[in-house]
Amino acid sequence: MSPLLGVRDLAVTFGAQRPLDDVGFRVERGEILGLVGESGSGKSITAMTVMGLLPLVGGRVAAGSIRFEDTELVGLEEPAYRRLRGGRIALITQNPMTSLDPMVRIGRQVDRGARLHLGLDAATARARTLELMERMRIPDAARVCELHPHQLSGGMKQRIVIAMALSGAPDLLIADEPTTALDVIVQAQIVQLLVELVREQRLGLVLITHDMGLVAQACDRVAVMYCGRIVESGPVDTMFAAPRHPYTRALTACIPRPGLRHGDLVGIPGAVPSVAEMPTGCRFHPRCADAMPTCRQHAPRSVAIGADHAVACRLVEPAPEAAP
Amino acid sequence: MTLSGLFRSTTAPRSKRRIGPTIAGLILVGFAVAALLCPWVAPWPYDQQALALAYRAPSPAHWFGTDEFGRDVFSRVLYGARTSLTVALVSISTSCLLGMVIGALCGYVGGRFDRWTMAAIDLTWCFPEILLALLLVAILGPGSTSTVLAIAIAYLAQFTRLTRSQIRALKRETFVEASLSFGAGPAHILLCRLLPNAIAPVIVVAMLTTGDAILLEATLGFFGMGAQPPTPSWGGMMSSGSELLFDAPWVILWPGAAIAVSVVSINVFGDGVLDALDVKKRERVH
Repeated sequence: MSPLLGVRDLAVTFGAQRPLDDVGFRVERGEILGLVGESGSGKSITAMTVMGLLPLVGGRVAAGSIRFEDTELVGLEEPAYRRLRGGRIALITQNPMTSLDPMVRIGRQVDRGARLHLGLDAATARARTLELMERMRIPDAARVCELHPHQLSGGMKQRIVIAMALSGAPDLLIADEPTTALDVIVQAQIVQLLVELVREQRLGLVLITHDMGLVAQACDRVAVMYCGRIVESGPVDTMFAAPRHPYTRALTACIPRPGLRHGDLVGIPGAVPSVAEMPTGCRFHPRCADAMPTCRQHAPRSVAIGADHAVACRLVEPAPEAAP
Repeated sequence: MTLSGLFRSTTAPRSKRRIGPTIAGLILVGFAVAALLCPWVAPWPYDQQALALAYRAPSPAHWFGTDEFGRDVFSRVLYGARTSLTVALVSISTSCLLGMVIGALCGYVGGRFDRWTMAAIDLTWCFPEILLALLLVAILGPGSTSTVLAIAIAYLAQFTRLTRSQIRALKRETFVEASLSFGAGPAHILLCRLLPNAIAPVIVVAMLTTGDAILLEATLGFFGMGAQPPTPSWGGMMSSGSELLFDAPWVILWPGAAIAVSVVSINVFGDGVLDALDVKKRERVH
């Protein structure tokens, strides 16, 4: 059976720049895939691309394929895409503070998905909205429906945004850093809710985040992105127990854990290069502790090294090959 | 909606409620009522001449005195409110609506359509309003219609630019992206997401511009390009009063005062509306 979402060899261009290159991952029903990387690694662009909103920011899919069940999304006509958005695939946007229309009451905003995609009338849609809001543990849902967004706290707004995303009964959720703007306690609650939803309703969830702790806690599989490429992907246990790519290793070393002494937590030296001046060869080589001369010239290919575990690094796949 | 209700509901602590906008609003309502009811309220017909009574000072019979034909200045100021306010309101409504439609389309569609349309709209900014009005009056002949058209065109660019910039800024907001990601089409985005969020500053500017429009109408009337005699307009009355500024100052003073009071009232009231439309000032509940 084909996966719920399968992305293969995806490349995205913005004019001469190429913020995504050779990106591939898949999500099954009832599975949570963590898409991890530093800011600027292309996570949000990946989300926009899957949603078909790339033209909005001036980007273009240059190569590759995005399959949603049996539908090819690359090159899909806009009206068909519009039916998918919200109805089959929904995006939980990055910042709950600005994701709600300030002029419209909460209830009406959440109702829309059900009315648009399920064809419900106003009363039935509102009943569904209340149900979803209770599901998201929003107290006093009937009253919250009558409020405007500025009257709610960040955590509440994020719950509303998730309820909105669920309103059209989608099969795949893409959550773009759903918890970054929230405090830690609320973060944990929201993630808990998302995990429950996925398990109960057998949704697929792509959880975009830069928080490795969150990934360890919630995800089934992880894809690590660096500079628009997936450098390593695999089941969450394997990835944390035996990371193979130097970048993944560095990322996991950045997670604070009990028993660390003061000063033991180290970052990764250097910063993510800008899209305009990508390093040649392996894009991580300028910051990599194990870089070899060949890393500068040849981009490593992704190699399967175990059940469902793939790495793109010279250390794992030493045989040199033709330059890309 | 009552005026006091409008301000009470919005500026949260009642003690800090501003009294200015309410008074200004009441004055404006007074002008509007006078303009609507002037055939019944005015003590004299606006065109009843009595040359023997020309240039009489204010008295119990003629509260504001009489003009060069012995007509009652008070009655003429009331009838003048009808002309001046109607011209200002109609022209600004036209200008504002048209500007919003064009601005919203330009801001939303963007690209070449936007560039060419805005270039055409900006052309109206090349002329001073008075010159534009002169041109129109030359083509259409003097009268209220050409005044309305001239004022509407004079302020069109302002409304178009404002709406366009609002829409362009809002287009990049996350909630628009969110709306798109839930499957909303372009019509829904433009009409239900962008326009309602863009409208508040446009309304306030429309209110403040109405003050300018009253002034412009008076100016055109003063130069004899507005409403034609015997129909009174405040500008026209001031023009005829200017001949005997020192011997019969009431002829020019009263319509002048009417212009000043209405323009100041509109500005103060517009300011109040600006506060009232700021939804975010209302208290947070959750």
